[in-house]
Amino acid sequence: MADKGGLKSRREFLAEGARTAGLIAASMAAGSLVTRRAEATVWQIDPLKCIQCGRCATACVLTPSAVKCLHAHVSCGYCRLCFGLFRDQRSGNETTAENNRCPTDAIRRAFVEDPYFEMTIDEDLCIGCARCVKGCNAFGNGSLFLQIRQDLCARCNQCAIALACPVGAVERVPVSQPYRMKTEVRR
Amino acid sequence: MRRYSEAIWILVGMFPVVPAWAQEQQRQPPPEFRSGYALPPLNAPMPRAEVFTVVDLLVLLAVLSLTAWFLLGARSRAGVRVLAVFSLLYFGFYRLGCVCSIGAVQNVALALVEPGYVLPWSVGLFFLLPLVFALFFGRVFCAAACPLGALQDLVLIRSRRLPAFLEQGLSLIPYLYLGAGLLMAATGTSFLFCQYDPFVGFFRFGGPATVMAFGAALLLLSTVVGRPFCRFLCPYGVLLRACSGVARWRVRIAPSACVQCHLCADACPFGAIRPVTPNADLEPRPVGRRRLAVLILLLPLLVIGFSALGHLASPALARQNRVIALAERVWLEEQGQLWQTTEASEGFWNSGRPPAELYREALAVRRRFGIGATLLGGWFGLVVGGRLILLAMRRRRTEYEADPGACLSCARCYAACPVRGEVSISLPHRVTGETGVTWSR
Amino acid sequence: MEQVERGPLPAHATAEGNRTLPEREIVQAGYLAAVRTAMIAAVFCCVVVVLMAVNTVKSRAYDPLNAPKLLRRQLDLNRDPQNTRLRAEVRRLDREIRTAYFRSRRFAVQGSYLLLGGVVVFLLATEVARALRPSVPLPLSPTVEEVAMAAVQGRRGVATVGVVGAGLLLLLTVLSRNDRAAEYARAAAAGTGQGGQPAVASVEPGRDGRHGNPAPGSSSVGSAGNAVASDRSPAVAAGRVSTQGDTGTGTVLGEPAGAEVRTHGSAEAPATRASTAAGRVEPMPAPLTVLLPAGGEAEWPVFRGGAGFAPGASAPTVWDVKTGRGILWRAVVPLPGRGSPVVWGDQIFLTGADASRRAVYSFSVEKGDLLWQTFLPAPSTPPLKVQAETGYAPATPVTDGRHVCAVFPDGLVVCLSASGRILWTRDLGRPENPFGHAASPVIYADLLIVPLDQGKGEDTAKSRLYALSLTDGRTVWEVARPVPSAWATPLLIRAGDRDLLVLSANPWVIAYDPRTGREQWRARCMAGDVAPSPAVGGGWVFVCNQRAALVAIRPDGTGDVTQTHVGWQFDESLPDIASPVSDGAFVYLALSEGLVICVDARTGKKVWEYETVAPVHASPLILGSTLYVTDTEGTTHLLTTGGAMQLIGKASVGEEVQATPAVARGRLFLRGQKHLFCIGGQ
Repeated sequence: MADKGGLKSRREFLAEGARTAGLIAASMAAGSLVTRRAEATVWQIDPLKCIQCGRCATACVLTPSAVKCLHAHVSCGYCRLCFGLFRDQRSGNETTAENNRCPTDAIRRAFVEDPYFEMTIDEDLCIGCARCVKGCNAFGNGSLFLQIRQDLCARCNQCAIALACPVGAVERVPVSQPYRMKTEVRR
Repeated sequence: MRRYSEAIWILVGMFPVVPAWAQEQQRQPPPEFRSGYALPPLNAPMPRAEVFTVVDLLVLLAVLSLTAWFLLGARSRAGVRVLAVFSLLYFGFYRLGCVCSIGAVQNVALALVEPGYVLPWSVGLFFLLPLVFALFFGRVFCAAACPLGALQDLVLIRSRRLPAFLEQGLSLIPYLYLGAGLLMAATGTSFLFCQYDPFVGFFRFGGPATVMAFGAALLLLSTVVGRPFCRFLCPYGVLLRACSGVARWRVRIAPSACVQCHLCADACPFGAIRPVTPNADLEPRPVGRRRLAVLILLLPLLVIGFSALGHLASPALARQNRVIALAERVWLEEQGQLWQTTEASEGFWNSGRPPAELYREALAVRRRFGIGATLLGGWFGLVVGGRLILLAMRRRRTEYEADPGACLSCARCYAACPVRGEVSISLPHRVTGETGVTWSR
Repeated sequence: MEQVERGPLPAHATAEGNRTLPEREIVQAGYLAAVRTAMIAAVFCCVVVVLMAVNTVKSRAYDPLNAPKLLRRQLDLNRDPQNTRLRAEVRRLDREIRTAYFRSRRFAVQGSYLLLGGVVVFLLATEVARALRPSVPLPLSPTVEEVAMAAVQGRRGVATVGVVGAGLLLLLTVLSRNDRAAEYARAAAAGTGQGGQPAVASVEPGRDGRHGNPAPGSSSVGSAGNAVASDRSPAVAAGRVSTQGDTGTGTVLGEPAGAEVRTHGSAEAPATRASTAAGRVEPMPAPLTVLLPAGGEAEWPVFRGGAGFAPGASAPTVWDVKTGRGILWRAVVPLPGRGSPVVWGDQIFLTGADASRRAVYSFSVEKGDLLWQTFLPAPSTPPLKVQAETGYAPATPVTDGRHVCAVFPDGLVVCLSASGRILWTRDLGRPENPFGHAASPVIYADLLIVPLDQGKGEDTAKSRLYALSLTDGRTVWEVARPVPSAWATPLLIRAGDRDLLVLSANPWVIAYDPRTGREQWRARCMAGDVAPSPAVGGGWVFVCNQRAALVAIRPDGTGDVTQTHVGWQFDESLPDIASPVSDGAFVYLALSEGLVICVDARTGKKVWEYETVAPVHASPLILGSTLYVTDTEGTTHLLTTGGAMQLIGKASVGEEVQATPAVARGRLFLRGQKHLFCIGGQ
C-alpha cells in the first residue's frame, strides 16, 4: 500500500477537486432556484380549447379519472330540455336512461320555478367522459365544462391526459391558481 | 384518494355576471328568477398546499442524512431497511411516486432548453439533494430514499449473480435511456422516465396495462436478481454513479484487516465489491495491448459513426413530438394528399392560426432534434467505446474494494464480514478496530 | 438480519453451532411455518391477481362508454318510440351496465388492497424465514479462468448492445425516409403569415378548356399567379393574386389568397367594347367566374356546384336502374330531404330530417358506405310547420373540405368538421316563411353566407343576410334585405375585379361584396316567390322566376342598375323551382310544366324547347357539353348543348328525384326519395 500512497493522494486530490466543484455548482443552482421561487405547477384543462373528445375519462392513470364535469350555473339557461342532459336523438322527454346522455346518470334535473330547471352533477358518479359537455357546448350555452379535480389528481410529472389530448388543452398552471373555471377564462 | 386534511375549498362565481365569452355563446337567454333562487356556487378543492412540499424536502433531507448515518456510522442494515420501508410508504404510496428525483432530471433538461418552462424550486432541489449527498456519502439515495429501489430491495430473497455478458451489456442501458430521456424531455416531446416507470403504477393503484405488466415482471425478477431496475435501467443512476465516484466517505474494506475471504463480495447482490485480480496474466501482454490500442482507435470512429446515425434517425425521432406530427399532418392535408382530418388537425384548422406559423414552430423543434439526436448518437458511441476500453484495460487489484459508483449502500456486506465488522468506513490512512477473530465451525 | 455487534462473533457464524437441539427444532419449525406462510401468501396473491384480471376482462363488456348493444337498442327505440317493451329493455340494460361498472371498480380497489396485504404478508414471512435461516454467503472467489471469461464475455455483451443500438438507429433512419420537413420549410419561408383562411378558388363557366386550365386570353386578372398543377392545390402559400383595383380592402378577412382564376373566354364580346352602347346593354367583356372554396374545382362543394356549369366534368350518359347498368352503388338515406348532395374528396354530404329527428350524413364516394351520421336535436317547440314539398331538410349543405355547414328551416345553422364532429351551431331564429326556409348557404373564404329572407308581401323587415365565421360561428357581418321570403341560393362570382354575392328575390336582385356585406348594385326585375337561383354566363348574370322574366343583368354596375345594366328579358315560359344554367352561349330553363327551354344568351330569344312531360324540380346541369335534366319521376334527359335540340338519351333511377344531382370524378350522384345513387361509367 505504501507504494500506492502517491497515486492515492493524487486521486484523492482530484476527487476533492471534483467534489468541491460539484458542491459549488449545486449551491449556485440551488441558490438560483430558491431565489427565483418558481411556483410548482399542477395540470388543468383549458375549457375553451377542449373539444370534448372523451379521452379525459380513459387516459388518466387513475380509475376513475381525476377529471370531473363542473357546472357554471351563472351562464346556464336552465332549460327544461337541457342539451347537456338529453341526447340529440331521443324518444321522449323524460330524464330516463333512453333519453339521457350521461352514461353513469350523474346529471340530475331539479325544478326551480317555471320554466326553469336546475342541472347538477353528482361528482361521485361523473367519470369525465364529456358527453354532456359536448351537447351543452354544441347547442346550449356551454355552461358545463371539464376540469381536473386537484384533490383527486395524482399530479404526475407528465400528465397522461395531457399526452393524449389531441388539441393540447391540458396545460401546466401555477399551484396557486389551479383551476381554469369557465367563469374566469377569457378567449 | 381524497386527502381532506389538505383540501381547501375555493368558491368561484359568487356573483352572477355572465362573462364575455358566454355572452357570445349564449344561445339560451339568461334566466330571471322570481322566486329568490340563488345560484349555487362553483367550488372546487385546492391541491395540496405548497407548505407540504417543504415538508417533503425536509423528509428527503432527513432520510438521506439518516441513511448516511446508518450506513457509514452505525453500520446497521436494519436501520437502512427501516428507512427504506418508510420511504416506500411515504414517497411511494403516500406521495404516489411523484415528483421523484429520477423524473426531476427531465424537468431540469426541459428548463435548460425551453425558455417558456421555469423549473419549480422543489423539483430542482429533488434533483440536487441526492446528488450532493452522493458527492459526500455515496449512493445513499438508492439505499433508502428512492421508493423504486426500496421496493426492489425489500423483495430480494436470494440473489443470483448474472453472467458477465448480461451484466456488462445491460449496464449500458441506463446511459442510453438517460440520453434518450434527455432528448425527449428537452424537446418537450414527452417524459420517457415517467411514461415507462415500471413501479409507479403500483403506488397509484392504476396505470397503463403494459407498463404495469412490465413492472410486475421486473418485481418478480427482483426476487432473484438484485435491483434490476437500479442497475440496468435507472437513468438517474448514471448521475449518482458519477457523483459517488468521488465520494468523501464510502464503504471501504480496510486492507489491513481484510482476510480476503470473499464473503462480502458474495453477499453483495449487486457485484459492487471487486475481488482481488489473479496474479498471473490472463493472456499474453502484447495481445492485451493490441486489443486496447484497437479499441482506443475505434472509439472516435464509434462516436462519429453513431453521431451520424443519430442525425439520420432524427426525423423519425422527431415525429414523436406533438408539434412536428401536427405540422406534418397539416401539411399533407393542405397539399390535398390526405382529405380526412384528425381531431388534432381539426383543432388546428379551427384555431385560425396560419399553417406557416405552425411550420415555423415545428422547424424550430426539428432543429433541436437534429442537434439532440446527433448528440445522443455520439453519447451512445462514447459509452459503448468507453466501456469496451475499460474492459480491455488491465486491472490490478491486490485488495478487495467496494466500487463506490456501483455500491447501492444496502449495508448487506457488513454482516457478511467475519472479521467482526472490519468492513467499515475509513478515512485514508486510518485502520480501525482490533484484528478480527476467524470463525470456525 | 441481526445487528452486527462488537464483541461476540457475528450471529450467523455461530448460531447454528451454538444452538441446543430443542432450540434448533424450534428454529426449524419456525422456519417451516414462515416458508409455508410465504407460500400461502404467494398463492393468495396469484389468486387475487387472476381474479382482478378476470374482473378487468369482464368489465370490458360493461363499459358505459362503449356499449354497442345498448346503443343499438336506443336507436331502435328512437325509430319506434311507442314500444314500451323496448323502452323497458333499454332501461334495464343501462342499469345493468352502470351497476356492473361501479361494482367492478370497487372490486378492483378492494382487490388492490388485498393484493397489497398479501404481498406484505409474503414479505414479512420471508423476512422471518430469512432471520431464522439466514442465507450464508460463500467464500468462493473467482478462478483465473472465470475472470478471463468474464472479461471476454463482458466485452461481448457490450459489443452486442452496441450492435443492437446501431440496428435500432438504422431502423429509425429507414423510417425517417419520407420526411416532410424540407417541404413545409419552404412553405413556412414563403408563408405570408396571414390568417389561415382557405383561399378562394374559382371555376369558370367558360366555354372551353378543361376544368383546370386557364382559358386563352385570361391575362387580365393575373391568373398566371398559380398554374393549376394538380386538382387540389389550394395554393394558400402564394397569396399573390394581382387583384386589380380595390376589392374591398382592409376588412376582417384580409385579402383572399390567390387562386386559379380562370377566365370566362367570352369570345363573342370583344374585350374593348364599352360598357353600354346607347340604348342597349352589352354583356360584360371582362372575366366572369364562379367562386368556389379553395381546392374545390375538382369537387362539388355547393348547391349546383356553383352555377351548374361544369365544362370539365364528365358523367355517364347511359344508366338504367332496372338492369343495374351504370349504377355503381345505391345507398339508403335514413331520413328524407330535398337538399342536394355535395361532394368533397371521398365524402358525399347530405342532410335529412323529419319532424322529430334530423341529421347530417356522409357517404363514401367509392362504395357508398355511410361513413358517419351526426344527429342534431329536433327543432324546439312549437313544432316546425313546413310544406310537404319543402320537407324538413330542403337546403343543400356546403363544404370547403374541412367544414360541412347546413341550414335547417327552423333557422338552425350547424357547422361540422369533415369527420362529423359538431364545431359550432347557431340559432338564427325561426324564419317566417310560408313554404319553409330552403335557401342553401354558400362559403366565401372563411365565411359562411346564410340568406334568411322571410316575411310575406310587403313585410320585409325581417329578412337578413348573415356572414358567419367558419371558425366559430360568430356573426362577421349581417345586412337587412328589403325583400320578403325567397328561396334562391346566392351565387358567388368574380366579375372583373370585384367579388360579388348575388341574391335573387322579389323584387330586387342585389349583389353584395361578400367580404363586407356592402351592397354593390341592385336591379328591380323579379316578382313572385323567387326560388330559382341565379346563373352566369356570356358576360351576364341570369335571374328568373315564373310570373316575372328571365333577365340578363350585366354585373359590373353600382347602385340601382335597373335602367342601366339590365340587358334582355325573356318572359315566355319560365321555371318556378329549378334554377337556370348557362354555358355562355345559351341559357337553359327547366320548368315544372315538364319543358326544357333553350334561350340564346346574346339575344334572349328562344331557340328550342324539349318536353320532358314529367315536371322538373331539380336544376339542370351542364357537364362537358351535355345538358342533364332530371324530372321528378327520376328520369334524366340528356341533351346536347347548343343551338339545335338533340336528345342523346334518357336514363332512369326509378325513384322520385327532387334534388339537383352532384357530379365528381366522373360520377353522378342522384338523390331519390329513399336512396342515394352513384352513377358511373364502366
